[in-house]
Amino acid sequence: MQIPYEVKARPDTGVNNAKLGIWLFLASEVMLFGGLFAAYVFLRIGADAWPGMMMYGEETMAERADQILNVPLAFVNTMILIASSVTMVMAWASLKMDRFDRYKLYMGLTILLALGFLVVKGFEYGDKFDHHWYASTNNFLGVYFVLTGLHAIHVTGGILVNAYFWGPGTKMWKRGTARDKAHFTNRIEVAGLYWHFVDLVWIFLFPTIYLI
Amino acid sequence: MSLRTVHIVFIVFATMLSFLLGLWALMRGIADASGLMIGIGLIALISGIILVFYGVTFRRKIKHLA
Repeated sequence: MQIPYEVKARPDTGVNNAKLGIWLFLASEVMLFGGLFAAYVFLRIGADAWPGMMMYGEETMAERADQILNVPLAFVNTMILIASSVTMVMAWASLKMDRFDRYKLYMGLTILLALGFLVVKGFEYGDKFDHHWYASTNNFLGVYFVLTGLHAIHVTGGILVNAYFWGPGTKMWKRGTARDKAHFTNRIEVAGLYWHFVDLVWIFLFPTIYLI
Repeated sequence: MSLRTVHIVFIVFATMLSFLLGLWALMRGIADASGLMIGIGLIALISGIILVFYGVTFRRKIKHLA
């Protein structure tokens, strides 16, 4: 059976095939992150102290997550991701308005902001490793590295997809037919849905791990 | 659900986070006498206000791009 490649909404699902596909994928992602969030809740409920004993020169009791984690850097990263979601939606809106030059600008900015997020995350991880704090140190750091690491992998995936649509993927738009342009715009919308999911995960991850 | 709707939902959550973080950082900054935290708190609160205005403007301007 051949799956029709079109951007019209199907009468049975109410959405086109690409959107149905991305929503099914995002549903599986919600289950992945949801399971890890649930693990975090149960580990925290069962812990005598959270974050617990940490080696900080000498062994000391950390009573708050912000004594261990760098809230200012995480705040910068939050601002970066919010800005990238704005540029992503602007890239899509630019295609809707047939402004390809604007699309290239906004998509390029989205990629740069995402790279900036990873650089800041690299500094944050580097600081932890300097203190010899690893995922195996205690449950708090285990949760921190697993959740933020998985999120960083998703950001990397988003960068790869967006970079393709910024570079070689634009051939579809450049063919110039109305059908190709509609297909390319639909692809960017689907990539934008994924990118917003990744950003939304961080919006929940940040207060859960760094602040509470 | 379109990207337009998802973006508005995202901005709502980002706004809530900005205000939450602003209050948290201000309280922490006052308790610890930390100028950095007070600064973060103020920037976060201002960001929250900017996001409210952005969200309203985006919703109004993007209506024709369904």
